[in-house]
Amino acid sequence: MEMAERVRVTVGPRGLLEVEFSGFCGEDCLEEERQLRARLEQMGLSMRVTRRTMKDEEQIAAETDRSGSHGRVPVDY
Amino acid sequence: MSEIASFETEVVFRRVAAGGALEEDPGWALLRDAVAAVARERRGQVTGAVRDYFGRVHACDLALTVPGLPGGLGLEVSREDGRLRFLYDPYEGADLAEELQAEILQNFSALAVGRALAELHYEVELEEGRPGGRRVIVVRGTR
Repeated sequence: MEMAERVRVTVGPRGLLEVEFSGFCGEDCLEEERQLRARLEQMGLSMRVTRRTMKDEEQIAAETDRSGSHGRVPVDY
Repeated sequence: MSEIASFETEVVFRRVAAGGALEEDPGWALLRDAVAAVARERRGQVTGAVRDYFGRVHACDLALTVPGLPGGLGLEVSREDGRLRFLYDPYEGADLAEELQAEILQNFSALAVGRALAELHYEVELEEGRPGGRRVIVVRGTR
C-alpha cells in the first residue's frame, strides 16, 4: 500500500502560511511546493519563504508508522 | 523526503499589473469571497465606497462596513503594480480596521490554497480554530 501524499497548510493572521508536506519521495515535495506556489501566484498570492526545514528520517518514520503504511520505497538522503 | 516551510504572503494581481481587467483576474472572485465571509461573520455589508471622518465618499474596488467602523474599510487593487491596498480613516476605528484587514488576508490565503490544492487533485478540507484566542485556518490536502 502506498503512503498518501499530504499537504497541511496553516494560515495565520494576515495570510502567513506554514506548509507541511508528508509522504513525498525524495525531493518530490520541492517540486510539489513549486507547483503549489505557481498556482497561488496566478491567483494573486505572492509568497516569500522565511524558513524551510527538511524532515529528518525519524520524523518521516513516525509519519509512516502513524499512517499504517507498508512497502514505502526507501530513499537515500 | 518531506519538508516544512513558512511563507510571508502579499496579494498581487499579476494580470491587472499587465493591463488586464480586475474582474477577469482569477484572484478577484476569491477576494470578493474573502471579504463576504468577513462581512457575514461581523454582520457587515460589502459595498463599493468608504467614507472619511468628514463624510467624504471615496469609491474603491470593494469596501466593507461593519458595526464599529461606520466609514468602512476599502480595498483597492493598483492598476499599475497589481498590489492590494486597504483604505480607511485612521481617526475612526483604526484597530478594528487592522483586524478586518488581517481576516480578509487570512480568508483570501485559505481560499486560494484550497483552490490550488484542488487543482492539483487533492481532496481538500478546511478547518478553523482559535488556539490561544488566535484565529487559525488549517487547509488539508490528501491524495
